[in-house]
Amino acid sequence: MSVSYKAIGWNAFKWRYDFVLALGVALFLATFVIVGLRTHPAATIPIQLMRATAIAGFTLLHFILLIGPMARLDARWLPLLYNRRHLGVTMFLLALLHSVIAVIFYHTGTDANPIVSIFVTDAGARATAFPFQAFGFGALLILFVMAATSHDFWLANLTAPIWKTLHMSVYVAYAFLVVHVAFGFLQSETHPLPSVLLGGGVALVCGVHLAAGWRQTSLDREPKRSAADDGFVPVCAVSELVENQPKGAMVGGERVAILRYEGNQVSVVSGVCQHQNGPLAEGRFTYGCLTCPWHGYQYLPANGCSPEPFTEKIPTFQVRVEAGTVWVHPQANPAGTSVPPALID
Amino acid sequence: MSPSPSPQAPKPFFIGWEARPVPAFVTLVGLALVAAAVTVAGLTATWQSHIGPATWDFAIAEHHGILLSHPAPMLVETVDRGSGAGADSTRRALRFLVKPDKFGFSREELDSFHLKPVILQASLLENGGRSMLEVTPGSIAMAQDANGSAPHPSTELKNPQKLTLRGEIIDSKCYLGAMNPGQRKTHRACAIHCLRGGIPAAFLARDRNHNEQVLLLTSPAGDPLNHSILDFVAEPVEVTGTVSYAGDLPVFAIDLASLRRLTNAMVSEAPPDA
Repeated sequence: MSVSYKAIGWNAFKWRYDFVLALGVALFLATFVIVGLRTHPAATIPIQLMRATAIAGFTLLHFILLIGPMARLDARWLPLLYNRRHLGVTMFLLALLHSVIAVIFYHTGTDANPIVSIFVTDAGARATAFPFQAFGFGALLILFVMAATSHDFWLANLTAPIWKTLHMSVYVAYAFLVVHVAFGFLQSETHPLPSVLLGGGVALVCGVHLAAGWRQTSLDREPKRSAADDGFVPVCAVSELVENQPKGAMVGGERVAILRYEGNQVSVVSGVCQHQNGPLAEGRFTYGCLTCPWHGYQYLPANGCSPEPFTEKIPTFQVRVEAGTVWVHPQANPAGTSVPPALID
Repeated sequence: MSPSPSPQAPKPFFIGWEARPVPAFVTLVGLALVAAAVTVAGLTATWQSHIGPATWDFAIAEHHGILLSHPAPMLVETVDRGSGAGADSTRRALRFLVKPDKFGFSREELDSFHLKPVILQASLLENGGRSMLEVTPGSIAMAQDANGSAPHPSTELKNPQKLTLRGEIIDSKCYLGAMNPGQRKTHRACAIHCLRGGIPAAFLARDRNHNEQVLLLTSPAGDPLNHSILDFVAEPVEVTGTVSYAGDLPVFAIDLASLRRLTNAMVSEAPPDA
């Protein structure tokens, strides 16, 4: 969390994360170019670099897409999610370098506009003339918009739902890149291995997303509950609550986080972090706040407000405890509304 | 229902901004990814295909020889065979002539030099015994004696043979060293630009053993085909025509109506005449 906008809010973990990322990318590019030149002495550095950036970037994109659902399936992946946007910006830079080399070598030195050339030189419906470069260009534009708006400045100003929707377009970029590879590189290859690898990558990304989606769907299933006369519905038994570890539930079609903290207090807030819609019900009560597992955003359980000087707010819910049962009113309060915690006798 | 919390041990909880040691799992994943990066890079770099022995020596040098404006712009240059060649220490090299970037010479531009000794400045591209000169603009000039007493080369095509070949239409400049690889789908846009700009079109014939031979492509009348074949560039094709020889250069005069697209598998499975 940061109260003012900095280019990057560095901390020790981000330094380590980015060091490993930079080391991995640098080693990949250097190894590919050096080994490529040694095993193929007539190869040229620009073409080797064009291929190295393509493979590195596309592989990195697969890893980026896997982190989210893997973190939903296995909490050990959550630290990798924390700085994921740096992976995304790095992937965009690799794609940009690949594109610049390709455009300079394949589309300049002619009378044609190089950008127009990308769209007109391949223009057939058959696989061997399918416009794969246009799909690569489209993916690059999407990745550029995502990289340019990856900062929290844009998240705050676009609002989380719009920002999140915008960044979901990474899946469109991924689809474009699959087409780009399938109708470009794969059309140049006769060996089946590249096709098998591409198919395996797509299957892995789809499979992990489906597994995470299936898990989330089961979590989002709201049981039928009989409401009391005042509208409150029974959500769980007090005995199900572990102190400082929120429990998730669906109430009135909304994800909520039910938190027992400071011994005998129970508060209920929205289960969706204002920052990036992170799952607050999988967070933890630390430093007096409910902390999001994705990026460490924090909210006071009694009013859904981030501690000063931070300004994020989430909706709260009326709650009471009766005879060992937690009751929640399904009507969410406006974000930041104070609600007295229910007390466990 | 008990009012007391369950005595469960709290699960580890990671907060990025906390100054805590990096979790062991994350360290393990990071190390595995770095190791995988090096391994994958090494394997994929080694495995790369279609990179031929093509080279481009960017040094500009002076070249002397007899210029031919057709069947393609070429310089017939007498070159040293190298050490150990015995008494016959020289040979005639037939070198395509092109302009910088993705442009070639038109026949009209060079007709005034046809079969005449010239001197020019150029850089050399070579691949598999074939070569090309990228000529420095404005550097072609008449020479008094380009090849000593050597007889002028003939432009007559010899040993004609009708053949149906399978392979790929390419631009000769990229195949000979401007790009490496200078063939197949990923290079298609570049090849189209080169052919549109007048770089001599060539046919890269392939047989079932993946042997390749490059032939100069012309119309049956011996004219350049560049613009009429753009839609077939860099695709696996089969075409029928007459292969004959200008010196040691195979020239493939094709019947455009016989051009047909194939799949990659068809090219390598059943070549008719390659």
